[in-house]
Amino acid sequence: MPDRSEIAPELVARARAGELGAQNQLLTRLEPVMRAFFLKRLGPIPEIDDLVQNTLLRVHTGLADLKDNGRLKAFAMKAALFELQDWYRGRYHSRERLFDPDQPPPAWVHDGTAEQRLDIEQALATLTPHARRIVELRAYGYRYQEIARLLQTTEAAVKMQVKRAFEKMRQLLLLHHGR
Amino acid sequence: MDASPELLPFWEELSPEAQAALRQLLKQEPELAQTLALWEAVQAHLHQAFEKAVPDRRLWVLYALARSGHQAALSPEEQALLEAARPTLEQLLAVYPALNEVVRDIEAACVDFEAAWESQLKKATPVRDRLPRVSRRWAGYQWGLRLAVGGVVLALVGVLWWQHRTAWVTQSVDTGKVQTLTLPDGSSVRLVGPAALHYAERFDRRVQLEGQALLQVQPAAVPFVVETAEAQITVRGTRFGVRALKDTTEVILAQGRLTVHSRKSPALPVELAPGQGVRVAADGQVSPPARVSVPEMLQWTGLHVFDGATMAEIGRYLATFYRVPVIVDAALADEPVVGTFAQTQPLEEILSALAATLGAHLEQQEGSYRLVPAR
Repeated sequence: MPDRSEIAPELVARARAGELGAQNQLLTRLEPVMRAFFLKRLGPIPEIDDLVQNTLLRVHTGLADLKDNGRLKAFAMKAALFELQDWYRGRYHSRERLFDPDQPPPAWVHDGTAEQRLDIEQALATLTPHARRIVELRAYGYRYQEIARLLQTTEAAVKMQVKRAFEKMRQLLLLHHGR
Repeated sequence: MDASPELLPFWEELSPEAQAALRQLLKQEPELAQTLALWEAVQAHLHQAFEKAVPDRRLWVLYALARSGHQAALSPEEQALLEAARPTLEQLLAVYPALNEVVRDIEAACVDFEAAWESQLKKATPVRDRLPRVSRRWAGYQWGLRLAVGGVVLALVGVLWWQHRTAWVTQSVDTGKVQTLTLPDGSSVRLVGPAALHYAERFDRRVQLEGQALLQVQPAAVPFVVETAEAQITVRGTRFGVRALKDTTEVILAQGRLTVHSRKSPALPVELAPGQGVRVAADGQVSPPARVSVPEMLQWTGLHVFDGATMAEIGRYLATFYRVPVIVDAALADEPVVGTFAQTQPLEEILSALAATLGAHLEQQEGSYRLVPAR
């Protein structure tokens, strides 16, 4: 991937050598690139500033590892992509829930061997391939709107699948309890 | 407000009124509550499966880059990491079809990044190009002059730089002593002895730490770096504790965000979120970030550090620390609290301050304390 950056390799070299002025200049040049990237991927969310800052921090921290001053673009792109992945992961953990997933599952839910208990794999097996894909993307950290974009459908269609999947799990539980 | 069970999977998107209505519904219909718990358990199960198999999500990025023809963007170390992980990644892609969408999404993100790079960096004309042209002959003189002057300036800067780099400040405290320092950038360091902090006289937001310290870093464009024998911690503005002990460095993040990497493997930084801790061993091993109780893990600072913990958690922590029952009314239990208290402060004083912050009332009865909403 040729690097046709407007950021001179000399500036990168000076920043890597620890020159504070060059580091500031480099990060200042990269800031609008990162902002435009995250805005495109995530829309105008309040956390954009944090994402930009964290990505610049990654660039700054990793500059010493950049072997070729002319390859800043690939280096900065990886920093932005890494940050985006960590953002999805963090978002999964920060989701508001009625039940804390870090707590042990209720007694009637089990992911182990007891035959009398409901198996999570059994619950997953009730889902259609399409619904399962949605649930997996949700567990990865995507929102329903983003899942719709990934699956090239509408948010309403995704939510309809989710409602059906939820209802299937409800029926499974009723069956399990012999009701 | 009507509560439809169909809305349960979309819990976090609902208004507080709709959530309250659903909570009421769940109390009346336990079978619905069980379905919701199963739903959450299934997602947690999948999430854990992803995390366990690929704890480092950067591997997905490397995989997507390589698959989309950006192999050259990977460093030799990253290529080696990817090749080692490739069988696991490909097995996961076969078991969890949605991960193929994730990889495709990363590939699409590469395209978006390249577009952002083009649009933001190509539109500005470099200042150099806007300057009026001068004759080649005069330009030659100018460059000669510049080089001569530049040589003198560089030599001078080099001498000064060397002097500044070699002039170090060391602050140290003995065993059992505590000292709080304010650094030239306004950041503060609470050194808990035995400990020593070293930094350049011309402060460049880099410090070296031996021993234990709680740092409150002022935000700035240039990151703040803490180095220990094993680790390097990079932050912009945050509060965190570092214990550089024998053969291991422990980092606990109270507020903000930071990255930690082993000095032996700087290419693999670990990012911490508030309430997480990590250990870096002398052999370069970095433990995965783990959720910790910040007040408990920072007890060695001689402070009670509360950075967003709920009042219920703080009540439990104080009750254990002072061995006195502390009861927090349910109406206050979820209130987040930010504050720092010296461990030498009496419990009653701390609870009174917390009560004042929350607009609550402190009651003392039969050797216990009770925090209740003010009437």
